[in-house]
Amino acid sequence: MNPDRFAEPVCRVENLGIALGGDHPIPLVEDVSFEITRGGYFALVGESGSGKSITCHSMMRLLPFKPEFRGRIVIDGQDVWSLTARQLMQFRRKSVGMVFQDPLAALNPVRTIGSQLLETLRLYYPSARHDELRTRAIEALKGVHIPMPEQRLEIYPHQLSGGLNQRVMIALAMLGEPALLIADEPTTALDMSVQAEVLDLIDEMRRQNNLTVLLVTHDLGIVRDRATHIAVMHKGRLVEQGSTAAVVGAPKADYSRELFAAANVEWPARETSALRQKPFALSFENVNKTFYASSRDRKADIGVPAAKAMSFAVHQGEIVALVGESGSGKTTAAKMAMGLVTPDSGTIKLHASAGGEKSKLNVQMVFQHPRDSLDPLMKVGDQLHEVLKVHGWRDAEARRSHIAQIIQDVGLGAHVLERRPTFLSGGEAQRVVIARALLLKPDMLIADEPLSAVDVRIQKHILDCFQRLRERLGIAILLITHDLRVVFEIADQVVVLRHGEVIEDVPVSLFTDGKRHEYTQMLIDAMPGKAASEQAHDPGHEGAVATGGRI
Amino acid sequence: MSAIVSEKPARRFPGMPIAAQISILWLALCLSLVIVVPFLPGVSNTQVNLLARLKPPVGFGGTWAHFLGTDDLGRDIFLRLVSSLRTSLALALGATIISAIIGTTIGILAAHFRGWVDQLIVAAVDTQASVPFIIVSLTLTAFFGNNIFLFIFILGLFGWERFARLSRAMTLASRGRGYVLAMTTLGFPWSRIYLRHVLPNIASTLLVTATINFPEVILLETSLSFLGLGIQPPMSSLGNMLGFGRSYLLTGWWIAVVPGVTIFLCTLAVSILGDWARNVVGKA
Amino acid sequence: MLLISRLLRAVVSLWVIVTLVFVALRATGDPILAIFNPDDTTQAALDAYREQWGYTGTILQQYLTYVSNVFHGTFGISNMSNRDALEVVLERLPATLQLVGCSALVMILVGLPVGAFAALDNGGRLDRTIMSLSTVGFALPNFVLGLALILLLSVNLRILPSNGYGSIQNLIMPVLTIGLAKAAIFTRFVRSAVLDALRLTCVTSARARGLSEFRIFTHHVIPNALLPLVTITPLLVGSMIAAGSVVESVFGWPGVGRLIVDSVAQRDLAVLQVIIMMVAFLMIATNLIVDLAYAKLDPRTALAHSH
Repeated sequence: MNPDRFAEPVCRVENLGIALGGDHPIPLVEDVSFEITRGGYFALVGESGSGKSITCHSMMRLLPFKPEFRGRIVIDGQDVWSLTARQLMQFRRKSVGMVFQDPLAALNPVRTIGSQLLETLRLYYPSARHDELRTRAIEALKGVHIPMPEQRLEIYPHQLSGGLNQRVMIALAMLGEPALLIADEPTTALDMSVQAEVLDLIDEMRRQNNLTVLLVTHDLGIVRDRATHIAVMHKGRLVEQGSTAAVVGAPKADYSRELFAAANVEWPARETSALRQKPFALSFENVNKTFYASSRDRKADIGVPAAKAMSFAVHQGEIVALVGESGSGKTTAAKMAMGLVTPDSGTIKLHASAGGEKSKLNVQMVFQHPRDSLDPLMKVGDQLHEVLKVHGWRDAEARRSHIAQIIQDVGLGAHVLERRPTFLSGGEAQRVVIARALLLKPDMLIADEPLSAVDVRIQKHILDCFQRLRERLGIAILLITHDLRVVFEIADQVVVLRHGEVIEDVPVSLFTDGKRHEYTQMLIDAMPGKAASEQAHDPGHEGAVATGGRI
Repeated sequence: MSAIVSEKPARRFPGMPIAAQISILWLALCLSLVIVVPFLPGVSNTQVNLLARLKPPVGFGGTWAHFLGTDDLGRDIFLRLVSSLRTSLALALGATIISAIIGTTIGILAAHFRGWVDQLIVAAVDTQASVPFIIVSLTLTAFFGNNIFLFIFILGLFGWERFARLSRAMTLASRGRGYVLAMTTLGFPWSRIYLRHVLPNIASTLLVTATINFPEVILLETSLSFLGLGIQPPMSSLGNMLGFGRSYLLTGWWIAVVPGVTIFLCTLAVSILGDWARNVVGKA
Repeated sequence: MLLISRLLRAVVSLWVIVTLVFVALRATGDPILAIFNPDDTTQAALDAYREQWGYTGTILQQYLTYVSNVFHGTFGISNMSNRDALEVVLERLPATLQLVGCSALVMILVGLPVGAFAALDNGGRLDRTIMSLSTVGFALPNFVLGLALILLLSVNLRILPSNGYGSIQNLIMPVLTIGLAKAAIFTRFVRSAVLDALRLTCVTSARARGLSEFRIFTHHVIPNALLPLVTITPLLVGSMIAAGSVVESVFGWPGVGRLIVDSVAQRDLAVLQVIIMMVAFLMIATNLIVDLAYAKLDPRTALAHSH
């Protein structure tokens, strides 16, 4: 084969500019250029709102609005934006396949899987008989390793799991044997354990069909493991692109350097045994809680267990990370600790504080979405004052100085007090929420995914903020997270939850000693980026792991 | 998994479309007429003048003395129109406020207590929504006789289920919102959370609902009065004015057309404003 | 299982309405005195009626008698015509069904295509024109529209009779009055249902696979847009019965709607309770049918209830 054929680009984007039309066009994507060579695996990385999805949708002219378009997109030898409607339809059928973020939404909910496969096959074999198409549909499902394909044809998308639906989507996208497959966040809506399988399937398709892949993602881990090329998008512009090794190894742009640095965390060797000697702050003993969808399910005992004999403890001044995937019961545990949800059985104790003057510890909570946990209509200052008013602080001057002190403690300026929550950045909002929790001088904070809604670069600041609070005020912190990076960064003790069960409760220094529960091991292994980083690091260096951060 | 809430660009307050501006002008005109005209010296909407019976409006052979014409008893149509308009607007406004208060209270209570209270309220709302309201009001009128207090009560009941359903849904949604959860954990009393935080946050949507409710109350009131089952003489509303005018379609069409057009323009103006408000709130 | 639980709920709703009517009847005072004029009926006759209609004994006994009477279709005597109330109502029913049926047809035939076109032209000139017309149609009270039609077509042009019943000409104006008013509302529902369906990811994904726009519309947009429309349609048809009370009065149409108005004016409670229960029964029955149709159309609900 002619080696030049491989070098020829399948897709070339030149000076792409997309703006939301109107009297005052809002630029969404500006001056984006890249090329994808045949057989390449190109990753477009960026935060949500960076314009990566708009870029990939514009490559198939699937934008949900009428844009102002500049530049040129050439795919498989066709200038996409100058095709006629008829040519565009042929282009979509033959040249490009697309896989979407939420497979359940991307399939028509009121029609069977089979009818959607057959309808698409009909485009390629207009004169084929029905049973012939059916055979091909079954072949297609077999090709993406869906078990019992004959039966699957008759059922509806909601009857399949997310992973299987995504396989169906991939099968649909591959029916026309396209040159390019665009995968827009294909694993974001899936369980962690399924994500790798779907990515493996895309790899397999790529190898078997000489397929070119454009992967759009916010997950740096996936990128490092699989992509041949990386392009980083930020605020509608490409800030960096190059081969994976070059970009990951030596990022040039400031933004991508911070991005990759934030995702690279060294394994800590923290001494935590002293903290374990301190008295309890919070303890769960044999706590059970099951949620039922209906009273009938309750009678039949078909429920979703959120806590099964859950036992763990937080000592005073200690930072404990509660780790688990969505549905593991970690948020329910937080709500039970706050008294927002009553357990079915077992005891949850908030122990007396060290001074002994109060009967109970004062516990406050920090929520996942900071802006959402502030009243959008009220100025930040008024909201903080209100908290103190409700708790009997009559003296306005005393309130003011107390608030000023705490605002300073969390590293904010006094100007935020005059703002409404809408005008705060994500990081500012999260610190306001922390400040609000601190107003009542708590002995313990419960933070539910406090980092998931803030920019990757702000995450570091928030973690620092927590660390300082612990050091200065001796506050115990229960950190609920799905992100192992948080654990590496500041936790003293790690509790791993799965289906409401505590399957791991160890000091952070023992977490990667290789003697953990297989599920914990799976979580560590499934951390995308591990493979690449192991190559990068000295393999003999015991315990050094870099995680794949999520933006 | 970790979705990033991107900073929303501050949206410019959208310019008001021309239709909405005209609607506001029209409603302002109606309101000022309703307020000012009764204070003008020497006007009486009940002045009977048998010499000036069935005079047509200006432009159809009438004079400026009665520029919208006169009715079968020689009363000035314009002055009758203003007094009818006052009755209709006052009833519709009062009724919308009453149903908004009743409905919103019920909705918030349902969302707060949940359990069987909620089930009961939802069942009542569903039943109310599935039975045409005009039939309910006609039935009540038949059972309890026709009087003005019952009539106000009936109008005040209209649309309660819409406010109840909406405020229940939005309160339930805000209970899941972080700020309500946060305030619960900070020890705020429920009454404070609902009155100071939830209500202001759902107020704009409730206001839009009121602009949808308002023209419908006007339609209900005028329909019932038109049928002779609402406002009774000597009081007059747009509906019973039109109802009486109906007998004179051949000899004095303007008696029916003037109140008919007025009802239409008022409901149209409020509907246009409602559409506009819904767009603004929906986009915000 | 689904059918049984829905049927049960329908029966409970009916029972609640029968009870409410009973309570309302009792709350108005002596129903016999309300139904029969004591001035021209002897005391002995009143007592006989009391006995006959079960207004003796404790409240509970009266209630049970009442329920059993309703169950047997015995509602009492209309004081307007001195005939069996059920009979009075039933003879008016065909006229109303004719009116509502034709109006529903107009509503659907106008609303479906017009709403769909508006959605496909979202934000365009056609869309804005249709939406403005729909606002006008919504704001126009049906008695005003009715009278306007009479003024135009009967008084001025003399094409159609202003009232009456029996011929096609008589039917045209009342049907237009109700049908167009409801079509104005229905168009909005159709438009927003189609718009919602157009925004679904499955439509984008169908487009990405290269299906033709026509095929996408018929096989992906319409099936998804139908679901919300199925729930709203019976509510609109129900509100046509209500609109009938006004429109039938305007056009002198001898249907149930005008009967309601007359019996309210005459305080003919016997006739009125028949109408309430009939309307309630019709509404509950259509809701039941719609629920079942919805379950049939949406595979997600059908499955959710079958295990």
